[in-house]
Amino acid sequence: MNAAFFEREPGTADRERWRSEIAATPPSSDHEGRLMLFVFRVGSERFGIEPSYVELAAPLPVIHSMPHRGASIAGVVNVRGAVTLCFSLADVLGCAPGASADRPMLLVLAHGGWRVAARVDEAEGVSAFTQSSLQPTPSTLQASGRTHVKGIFASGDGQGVGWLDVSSLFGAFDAAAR
Amino acid sequence: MNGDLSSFSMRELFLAESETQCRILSDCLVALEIRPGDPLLLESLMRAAHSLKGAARIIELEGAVLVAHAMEDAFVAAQKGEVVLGSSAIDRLLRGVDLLSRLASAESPAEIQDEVEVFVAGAAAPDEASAAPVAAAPAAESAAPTVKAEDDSRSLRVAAESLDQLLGSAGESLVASRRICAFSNDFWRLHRHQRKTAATLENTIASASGGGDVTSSLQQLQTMIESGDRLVLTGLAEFERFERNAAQLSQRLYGQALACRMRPFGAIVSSLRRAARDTARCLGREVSFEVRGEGTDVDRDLLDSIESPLLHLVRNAIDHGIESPQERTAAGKPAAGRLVIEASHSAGFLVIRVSDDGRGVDPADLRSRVVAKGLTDAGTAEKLAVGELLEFLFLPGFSLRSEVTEISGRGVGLDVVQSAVRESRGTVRISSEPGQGTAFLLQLPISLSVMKALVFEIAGEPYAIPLARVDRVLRVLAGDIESIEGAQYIHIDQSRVGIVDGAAVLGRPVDRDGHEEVNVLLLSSADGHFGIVVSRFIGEGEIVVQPLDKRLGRVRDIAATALTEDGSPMLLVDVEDFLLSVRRLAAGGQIHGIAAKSAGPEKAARQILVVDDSLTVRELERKLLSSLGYAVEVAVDGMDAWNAARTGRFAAVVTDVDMPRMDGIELTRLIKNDARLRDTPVIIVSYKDREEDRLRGLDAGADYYLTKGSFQDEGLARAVADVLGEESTP
Repeated sequence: MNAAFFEREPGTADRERWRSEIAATPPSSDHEGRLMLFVFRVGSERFGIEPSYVELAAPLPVIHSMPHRGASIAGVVNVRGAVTLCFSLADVLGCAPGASADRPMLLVLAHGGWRVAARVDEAEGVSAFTQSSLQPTPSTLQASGRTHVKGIFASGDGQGVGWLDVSSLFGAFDAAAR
Repeated sequence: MNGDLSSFSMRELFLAESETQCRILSDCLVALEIRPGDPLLLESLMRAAHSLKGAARIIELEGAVLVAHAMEDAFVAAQKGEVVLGSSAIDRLLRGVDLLSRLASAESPAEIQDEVEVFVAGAAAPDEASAAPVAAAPAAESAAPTVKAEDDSRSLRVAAESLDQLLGSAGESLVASRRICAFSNDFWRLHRHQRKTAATLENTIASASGGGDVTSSLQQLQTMIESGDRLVLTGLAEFERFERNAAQLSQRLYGQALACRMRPFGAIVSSLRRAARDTARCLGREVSFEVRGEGTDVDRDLLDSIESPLLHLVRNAIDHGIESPQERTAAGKPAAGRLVIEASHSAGFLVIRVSDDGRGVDPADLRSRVVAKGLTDAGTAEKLAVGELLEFLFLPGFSLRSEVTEISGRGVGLDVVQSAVRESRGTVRISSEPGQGTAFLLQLPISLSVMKALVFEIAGEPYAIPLARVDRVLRVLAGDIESIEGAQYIHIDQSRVGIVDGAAVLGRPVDRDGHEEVNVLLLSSADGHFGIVVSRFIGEGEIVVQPLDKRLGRVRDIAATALTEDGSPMLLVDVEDFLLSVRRLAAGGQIHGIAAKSAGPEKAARQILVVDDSLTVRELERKLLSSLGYAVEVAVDGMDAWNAARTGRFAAVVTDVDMPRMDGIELTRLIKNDARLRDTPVIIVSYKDREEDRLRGLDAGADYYLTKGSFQDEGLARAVADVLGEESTP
């Protein structure tokens, strides 16, 4: 009986309303003001990034290596028909090696008009974090000036989650590409 | 509707219309000079000016209305026989055409208001008033061709026919997709039939176990199974027909979408014709300009990028090639020179030939100029073949004329043509007969985005190479591979062809297992054939080329990316680069044996990287340094050099300054700003010998700045020995 309702084409007005509703939603915090982060594992380390920067998370497709380039460039992958540059996050972030990946994933990240893919060892999905559990990064990391992490969220289920600074991360991608 | 948006699109429409009308105006004006007072031409001119005036009025482009109106008046007056439009009037009117196209594309048309007033005042005056003589000439330069929006949202003009065909196919595809619904109905019918058969079978089994006679039930079952089979077969036949149609349709859709990217070569002919006319008039030459193959399809992006090199070749031919009428008559030639531009498709390439019947290039004269410029010594110059000698014409700053002329001597040379053509993955060659003329042959890909390619595998990953660049593919028995001084080769048609493992060239893991047969890809370059060993051939087909991520910069040996038929990414090999890498490997003695053990590290001579975009200079420097006992690798420009230098294996870098893509200054700066490389000495060798050039080089961090004359006086050898901290003889 409801088939007609469900199958009808949404009108322009509907689409406009949906679009503005979705655009108006604060992208990375829930109604209790907690920060929402997309959490993934690289090597033995866990990171979180605002979900609005994650365009796609999918099982790892075929990566074609890039000749004459360093380890930070994993190669190129097919993302919905577009050949996209793929980085090895383990190399870009300098992560310690961890458990071998059972379900390696591909993240497609977009920032400042640049879309890149990155290989991660596991994608855990979106979790909520309270600002009060945010701890500063270790002073040794800060001193090195190489950190792309804004802070570390203590996490109930074990290891802390490094909150990635997106523009710093993309800066590192840019440097690794050149 | 948003007011701003609608006026924006009107503006675009006007831009499109003005392009068309300005082309008509320009073509007809040039033709009118040859056939003065031709009523048909005047009629077309009048109509074009009139249409433009109307269109300009709609979008309230006041300046364009005035200019078009003044032009229309001039044509009407000529139609009535009140005035005769001579050469200088045509000059003036052509400047009006330039003004119109600038007005159409200008950000703020108000800025050129003054020029509009000058034009309108001048056009109203009768003939030979010659208002504002040559002032507008440089403006003409910046006119139409610069209207090139870079962003993806640009609007494109597509032939209505192409679009209609595309729309037709898209409609067909829509209808075809609805037919899939019929197949699901067929499946449902089959499903119901199967269920009925199963139920009948169940009943039959039940009555058989009860001891009843089931013969008639079995017969019924047999009939049901047969009719079920017929249902399947009918559906299958239908499906196969559908599949064939769908495949054809997709192919057609693809071809038609591709056709929308194409424009006829003729689209840029009017600007070429115009340049020929203006140049000839300015220099007092008579030129008959001929174009063949105007209908040849060219990718629109390619067309944009070859327009300016072709303009340059046209001006060059008239300035340097075609003699003055007196000179020609004295030489027994017709007074008017012939300039022919010919476009055609040949062997998967777009070939454009620009030829003239002028004085040609005198080898003796060129030879003495090469020596006079200090590019080489007289002894070497004598040994150079004519073809090699002509290559010097493509060197930056090399001009055949000693005096700077207004036309060709604006600081641009044939090197600009060459780098523009190379940018489009093409080549340019020159041939010349003294006294008979000169011809430039441009070979370019037909489309920048689609190409026929051979797909193969290296180290387990797919790569593609433009099919046109593949000579042959063959399978060779491992036993037929011979080796000489560690380099491996095979016999093909009585000649020895060196073979290299493709994996080694690309720096991929080399397969060390012995195979009975190896797959060889035969490529050829100007200096011979090479066999590239690949893991296997996958096949050939059309691939859609996607550029590499811009931030990646240039990747050695790789031109672009594409997708395989199953959607996996693959890389498109840059053939010129790849061959260069092969030669580099060969020169460095680094060719690994095919399926042979890798040799232990050799005690190698110190490596020097030589960077120059001229083959001749590169070879001179390479020979000089090799003779001193250095191992020399070469790079063709700054970008290529940077890719090689960042490996950090060079003891010193010797580089030219003027090169396409990245110049020597930039290269020096990159090396000197790199933490790992900054201690690598850089020696700049350049034609530029002014003090400010020298300071620019040294500011960038170069250790030495030499001028190219230094080959003869051993300056280079001394500088190299000095920066490496060695005695003069290493």
